[in-house]
Amino acid sequence: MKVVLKVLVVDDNRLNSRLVEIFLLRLGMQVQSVSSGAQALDCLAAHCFDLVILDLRMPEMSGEQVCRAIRDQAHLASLPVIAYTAHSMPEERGRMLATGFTGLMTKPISFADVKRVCADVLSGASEVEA
Amino acid sequence: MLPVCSASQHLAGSAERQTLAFRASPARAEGRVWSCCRAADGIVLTTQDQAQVFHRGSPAGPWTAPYSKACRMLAKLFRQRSSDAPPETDPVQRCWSRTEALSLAGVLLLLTLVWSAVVLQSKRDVRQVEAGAIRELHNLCLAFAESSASRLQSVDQAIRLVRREAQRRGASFALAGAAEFSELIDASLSQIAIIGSNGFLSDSSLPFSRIDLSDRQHFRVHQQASDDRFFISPPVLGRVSNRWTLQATRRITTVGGGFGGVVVISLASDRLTNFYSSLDLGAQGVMTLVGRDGWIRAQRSAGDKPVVQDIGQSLVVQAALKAPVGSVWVVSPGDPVERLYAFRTLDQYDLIAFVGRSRDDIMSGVYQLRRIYVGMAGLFTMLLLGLSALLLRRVRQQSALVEDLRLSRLSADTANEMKSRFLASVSHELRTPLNGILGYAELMLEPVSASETQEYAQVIHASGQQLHRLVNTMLDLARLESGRMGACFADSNLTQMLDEACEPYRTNVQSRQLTLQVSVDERCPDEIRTDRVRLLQALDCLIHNAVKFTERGGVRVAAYCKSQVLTIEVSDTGMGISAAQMAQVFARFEAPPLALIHPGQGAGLGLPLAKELTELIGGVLLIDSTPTNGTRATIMLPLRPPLATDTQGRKQ
Repeated sequence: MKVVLKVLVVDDNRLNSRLVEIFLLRLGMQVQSVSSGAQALDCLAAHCFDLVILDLRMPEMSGEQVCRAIRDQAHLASLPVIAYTAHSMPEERGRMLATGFTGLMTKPISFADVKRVCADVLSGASEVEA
Repeated sequence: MLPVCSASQHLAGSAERQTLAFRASPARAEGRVWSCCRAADGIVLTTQDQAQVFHRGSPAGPWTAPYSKACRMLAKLFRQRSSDAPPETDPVQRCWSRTEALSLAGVLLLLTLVWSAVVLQSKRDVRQVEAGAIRELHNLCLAFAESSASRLQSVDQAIRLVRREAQRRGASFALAGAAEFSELIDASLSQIAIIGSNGFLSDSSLPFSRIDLSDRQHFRVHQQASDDRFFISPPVLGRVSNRWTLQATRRITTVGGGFGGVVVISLASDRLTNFYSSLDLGAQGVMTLVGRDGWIRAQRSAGDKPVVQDIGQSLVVQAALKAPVGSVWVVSPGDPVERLYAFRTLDQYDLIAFVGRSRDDIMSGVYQLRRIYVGMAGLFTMLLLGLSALLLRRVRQQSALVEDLRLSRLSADTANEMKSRFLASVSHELRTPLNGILGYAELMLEPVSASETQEYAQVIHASGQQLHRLVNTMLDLARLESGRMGACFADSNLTQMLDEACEPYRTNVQSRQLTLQVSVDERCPDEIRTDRVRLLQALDCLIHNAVKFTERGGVRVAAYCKSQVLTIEVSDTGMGISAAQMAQVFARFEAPPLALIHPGQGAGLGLPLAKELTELIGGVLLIDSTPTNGTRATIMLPLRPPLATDTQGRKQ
């Protein structure tokens, strides 16, 4: 049975968010893209999502701030949030996970990366259901 | 107020140049801008209005006062702006270190000990020699006194014999014919005589006439006193013998107890002191026999004559009157020689015998020893001081070396850290355009529509261009960093140069309906002396950023001149950056990289490059910006470049 995930992509760079969006659409997911942290939080309040892909470098509200805001809300505490970043240093990775991100997706990304992230989220979700 | 202030300190190392950058927090910038370049031959401090040059003097020679002052100013600046970093201590201003002071104190202590030992030892030697001299003089004095006593005793015996014979024989007694006395009386006795009670010479062993001797002391003593005493007079010139002699006398008492005359034996004074000839009392030695009345009876000193002198006030006599035996240091009133005297009283003859030696004689050995001690201690002192000076010099050289090593290690550490940050930064900067290229290329691997293909290809092309620009910028920064980029100054037309800098952006600006203006103030000279290529590169970075970050309005490039400083401003009406972000603008290779957030991205390395390039050609780059109000980048250049900021670069 094919499961359809509802994914929110947050990136101020249109080219970057468009790339992830196309990959996700090819996987058959439902995608919504927004360009700022504030818009992302609004969307999360109004709709239900299975996965958030969040850019770290954004004006006004950085990816880390958005992630903390998400984790502060009780009903979103277990929502998978993936950092979409160009940082590749191991210490950065540790810092991101400590902030509350579920995982990291390092630029440059490929179709396989997006596919793996979705698979991880799905397996995690089935465990929750079971 | 300018929101950022930065200065870089170029340490002129032995082989390579390293750059230590220190930045001020915006609150502490105080509205003044400093740029400091430290090259091998001096320091250039640039403020908002002028560039000041402080020459070091010759690179190997002593630093000039303005240079040291500039160093202090720098250190002060550094302290003010970076509380966590200790100020650089200038080796020229370094005073005595604690270790050096301690070593010096140790050396001084050692010298004090050595000299104290010399003084104490020579004092001990003096005491020992003095004690020895006192013992020796006592023995001599004893021998002298005993030899004198025995001599006088034999003389007294002779006198008594003559007196008895004279009394027994009466008028028939004549000394001249008394051959039996020749056995008793030593041939050396110059004369035996009898003075009659009237004072006239009545008999003598020598041929004589009846002369009056009633005025002589040795006659009057016996005439006035009735006791039978042995009296020895001070030396007198004999009226019969015509020689200086001592008169040893005894009274002749008549049967009735009256004064019957005086028996006299004259003897040369050296008869008492010939003992001296067998002694060595030194050049200034003295041997004296003196009466309790103070008159010298006999005295011997080196090369002397008979002395008739009252030395009753002499301290030696005074001391001898108080104690029968003793020793005393006295400066003779006659000659200013200090002598040590040993004295002994001959009670039965009312005489005092004393023997003296001068201090110089006694101490000559000690003095010589002392000279040797002082010489050795002096030699030791000079050696120690010389060694200390050598050691101190070595230590100073060493510590200067250590300081150099410390600085170069600091530089190396900084460079190493920078390298790590550079790698992190490069990796980050490259990933953004790579994401576009790889991601969209992957999308095109699947069959897609024609419009999608075009869209993806455009993205890939733009990302590729961004990547190209990044690579070039990074290469330039790396060349600047290693000091391999030099500046080449030549006269160039200012207006032409500004137009040339704007040319590549004309199309872009027109398509986005922005303006791009160039204005040159009429006070500016037509030709300026600068490195055209580097200045164009710096301007390109600034104009590129200005155009990229501006959505509405336009970009203006303006040049004007004031007090020998050429100012080129690139101002835009774009989004601007906050003061907090500004501090990071010039932080080349810093991790995390610039928080400049913009859809365009990729601005990370342009400003640091522009700043480095501006400083390479002797100028300052200022950024003045507030969010939403646009950004103004200002390049200030001295109209006459003060000196090359990079001597290595100039060689190329």
